[in-house]
Amino acid sequence: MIAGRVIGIVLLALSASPVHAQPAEAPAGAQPTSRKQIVDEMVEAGVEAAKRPAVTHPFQTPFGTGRNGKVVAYLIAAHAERNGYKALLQALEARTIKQLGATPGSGGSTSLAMNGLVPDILGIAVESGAINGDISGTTVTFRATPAGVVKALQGKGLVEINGDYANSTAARMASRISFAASFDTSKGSAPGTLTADSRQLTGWSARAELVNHRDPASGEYAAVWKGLLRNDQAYTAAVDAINAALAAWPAFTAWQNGLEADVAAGVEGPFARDHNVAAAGGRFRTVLETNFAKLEKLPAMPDAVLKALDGYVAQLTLVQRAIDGVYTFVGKGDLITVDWSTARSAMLPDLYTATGIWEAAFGAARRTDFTLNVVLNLYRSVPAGAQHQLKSVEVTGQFDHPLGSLLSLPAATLTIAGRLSHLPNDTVASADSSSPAAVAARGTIGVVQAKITIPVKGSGVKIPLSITASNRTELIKEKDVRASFGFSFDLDPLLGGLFEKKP
Amino acid sequence: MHRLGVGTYLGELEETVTLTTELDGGGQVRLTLDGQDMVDARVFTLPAESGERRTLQITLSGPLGATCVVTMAVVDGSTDGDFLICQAHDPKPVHTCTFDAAAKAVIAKFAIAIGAAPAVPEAAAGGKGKKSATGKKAKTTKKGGGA
Repeated sequence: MIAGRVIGIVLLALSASPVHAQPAEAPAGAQPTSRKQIVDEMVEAGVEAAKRPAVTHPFQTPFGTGRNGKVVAYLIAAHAERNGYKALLQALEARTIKQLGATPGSGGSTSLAMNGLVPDILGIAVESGAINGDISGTTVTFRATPAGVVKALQGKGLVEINGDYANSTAARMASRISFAASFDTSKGSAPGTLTADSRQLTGWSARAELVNHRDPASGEYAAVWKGLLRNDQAYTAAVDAINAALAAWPAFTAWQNGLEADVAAGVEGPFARDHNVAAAGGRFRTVLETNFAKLEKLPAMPDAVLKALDGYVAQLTLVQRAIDGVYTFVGKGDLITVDWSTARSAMLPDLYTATGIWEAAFGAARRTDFTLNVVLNLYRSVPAGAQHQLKSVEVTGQFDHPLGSLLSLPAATLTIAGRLSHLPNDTVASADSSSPAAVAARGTIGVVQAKITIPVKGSGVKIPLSITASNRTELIKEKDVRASFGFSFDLDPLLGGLFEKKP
Repeated sequence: MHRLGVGTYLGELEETVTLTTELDGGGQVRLTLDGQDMVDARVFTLPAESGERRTLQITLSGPLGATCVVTMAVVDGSTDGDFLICQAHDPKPVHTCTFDAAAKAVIAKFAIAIGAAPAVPEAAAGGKGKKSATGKKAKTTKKGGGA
């Protein structure tokens, strides 16, 4: 039996390995996407500047001599075949991967403790586990913040949404409330297909963040951002060098003068008269797209420009790593959330679960994350075969510690978790339509879990591999060991682009 | 002082330039004048000799969406503003502004040529002999030395 389980784990590891290999390959069409995103960012910069009365020539601020960061980024994207350029672009465009997944009570989940953060727009997680028959089916969880969905439907992209969160206390507060629904795709009229109807709905939850010290725009991280301004002479020297090299490239200066003239005449002039920010943004986009097409047709870059560009790429890569480090640090700030979920069953009353979640990190560098869950389970009504609505009280603790990179694999995270679940009375356990509810004897259940989560860099995918042992289950008073794996997807990068609106 | 173009200005000898910075979204800004960190100072003077230049570099560090508005005064009788924003492809933006100094007569001819408002209101035109932002006599760089 044990041998069989070990073999199962090895097979799972092997089955996950092809997914590992994916990040080595650049996503198809990465270069055009980068160029479009850069144009989007320049338009956003112009539009945001236009909202500030103090900025008299807002659409001339994102480019020009001495401020060519975005144009240089475009040149990097247009020459992504050069060493280090593509990796930099992918690092710049990578989003913070957030934990998704079904709540621990749902079938198929590989999580023992629940984490508090949710994606801004919409998250979908598919987790599977079927090694020894304890877990069956596939759970799909959608989780969203209403504020994020509304903003997405308003046509705001992820950058704008982040900007709103950074600039608006109300938006930040609204983003602290989220809702989720889980669907079991093995149920319903078309098993294996997500129909998201009531027959596949297995649960829903609402979550609120009471304390969140994970906002990178918070004043508590001002010193951290200020720290990035110290000892950055090499970066500013690289900026100066590429600006000087571009200024000495006649074809580029002619192109830049043309762009400035087009923006002055075609964007700033009309904007000064009608003060229509959206219309000006649209005109700015048209001018940029036209002129960037011309930029790509310039003669080959002189060696001096290429050399300066290589130096800038090297320095910006270091800057981006430092920024990633800040986000990682911020992402381990204290977080306290409360979660109320309902699990539906065809055989039992709805099971309510109230969960308090505290997340903190240890050490000055916050490398070790700690999560504490306190959970109360009670049925909506007294189920047949039981005497009380109260089902159990649980306390779960979880440590997450990064293991670091091994060879060329992305850095994995080791998780050690334990849960004590106390059933004060004989009650009934969860059941599905294929089997009736069974009696769960009173007592205490201890569960320990070890898990390694392997992120797929830049894709929003995580692969959790876990092994869990317990002194008993709710139904069987025998020791139990099981293993499971899954995939978790973050659709924010995709949906951010889908919902993006052109001004 | 007159605005010549994007981030380029022309002012009188030893004319006083006043800056303000307005941060939003959690960012932090650093201003350097001719390579020297201005720390919290927001006033400096143009060079004392015609044809010399001062170079202001503005660097913004912060999360995505952090912004900074930098206003410069007095420009064409009012103020001129620059705008920086931290974005995915420009996560730590650096803007460079140059300030060239010229004799009063040259400035006057230039203003007439472009039909500009007075560069400096009379009440504000008393910058002679002032110290630099860091409290020391400012180091100047020759025109054309910046990027």
